[in-house]
Amino acid sequence: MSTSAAALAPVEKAEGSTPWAMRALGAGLCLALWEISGRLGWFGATWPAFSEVLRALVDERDLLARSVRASLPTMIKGFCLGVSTGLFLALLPQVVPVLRGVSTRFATVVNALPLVVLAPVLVTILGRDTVQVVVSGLACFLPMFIATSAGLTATRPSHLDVMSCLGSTRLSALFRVRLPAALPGIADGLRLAAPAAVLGAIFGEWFGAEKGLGAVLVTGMQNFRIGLLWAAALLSTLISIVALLGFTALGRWAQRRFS
Amino acid sequence: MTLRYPLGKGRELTAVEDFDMQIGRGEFVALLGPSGCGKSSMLRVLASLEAPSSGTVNIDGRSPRELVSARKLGVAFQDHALLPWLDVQHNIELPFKVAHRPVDQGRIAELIKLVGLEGFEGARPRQLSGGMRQRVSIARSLALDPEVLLLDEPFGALDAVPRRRLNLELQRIWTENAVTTLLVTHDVNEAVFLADRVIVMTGRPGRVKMVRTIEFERPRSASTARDPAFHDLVDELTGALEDEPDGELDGLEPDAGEDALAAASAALRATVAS
Repeated sequence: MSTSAAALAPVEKAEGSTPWAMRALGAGLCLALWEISGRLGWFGATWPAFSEVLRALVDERDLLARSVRASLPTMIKGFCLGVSTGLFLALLPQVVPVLRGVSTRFATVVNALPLVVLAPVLVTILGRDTVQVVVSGLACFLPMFIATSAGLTATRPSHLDVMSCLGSTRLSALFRVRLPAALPGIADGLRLAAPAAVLGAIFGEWFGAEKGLGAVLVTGMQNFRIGLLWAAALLSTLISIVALLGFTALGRWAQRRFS
Repeated sequence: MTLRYPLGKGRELTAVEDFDMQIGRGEFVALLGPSGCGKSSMLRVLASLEAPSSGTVNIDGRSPRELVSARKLGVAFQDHALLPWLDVQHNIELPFKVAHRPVDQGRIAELIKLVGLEGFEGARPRQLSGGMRQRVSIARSLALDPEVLLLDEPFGALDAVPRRRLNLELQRIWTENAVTTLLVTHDVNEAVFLADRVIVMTGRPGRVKMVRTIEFERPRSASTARDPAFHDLVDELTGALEDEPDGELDGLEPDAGEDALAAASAALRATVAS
């Protein structure tokens, strides 16, 4: 009996750790495949091996560090701009109900304008430095607007009934019931907005920025510095992932705390 | 008073028709009726969550709206409707905060003691049992010393045993805060045990079918409920209820009627909320 118990123990332990082991194995396989396909040149000269990208990351660390330092403030400013605009437009109809249609239509129209067309126009109006922030904001405001609007409608009707019976004003119901109930939705919006802001900022930098990860991408492309190009792309992706994970954790907390 | 809801395509649902009732000051009235007879809609009108299609509601010379504005109305719903992100203490403080009044900590402590939840001040609704949540909900409805208390099947979601215990407690709470109370229920025992007067409603459209004054002396106890006279009364009222078909509606399945009513009140609720 004791031997069978001893034999079972490691199996149970393995069961608990299987997901992590599988994940590591999966990531390892992908990287190995990347390395092999790059070395053998399966996808042509523009597909480097993973080790080449890492080498570029080390060799060009000064340029890349400078670029990240230049891009991060743009991303954060764009994120703040987009998120606050989205929040404002979603909250506006709660305070002034007649503006519901105006808010939604404005959001739809802005979203319908293709950024590729809009960005060059904005460069001529706003100048090259402001445009990056604005493009980043434009990219992330819609997910924020939609998630917040949806969150605000998720209020339980019985909670509004209680507020109404207590003689609450619309504003008081908004702050005491609707907003707290919308917080998980708002956190979802932040989670979706963060990678969009990163993408938007980099895209904004394509239009003649002198510094930043977007500018490095353009330089890398034009001068055929494939390693550098991929290193910049890898860094952008990492920034997105970190932001996403951070806001996912925030969303989980909001879900636990407010519903 | 009459309550009608549009069903679309020119059809209407008459939930309550020519309903006439008077409640005395400090009286406990139970409104008893088959499901879908519009008894909850009646309560929603009294809480000014809905407006009657015709007729008026007069509470000591005021409309329900005015009563709400004066913060003199307490309501406890079947769905406890506690805010999940607030603990017991803060849920009971809510009426003070909405009324922009300083929170009377003495009153809150008194209410928590009244509903027997000392030691649970910091607990969130989800950590409490169904019965405890309803106690918090009742404590919240009493927070501002209301003149009128509306109870919409407050123990409807509970099992028989905790329900009986909470009815005993509700009677004690009510004796200590003798406030004019309307209880909506479909439980005959509960109605007879708690009320001074029981009003039986007909099926849809809801009308007054029968009124019985309950004479049992207060405080009533478990032995009151074993009294043969108590049983006779329960049997009589149950008989009156059984004659009534559940929420019947011409040309529509009972369920469809229920859905239409739910949809109509959801639409109304949306209008109230916005």
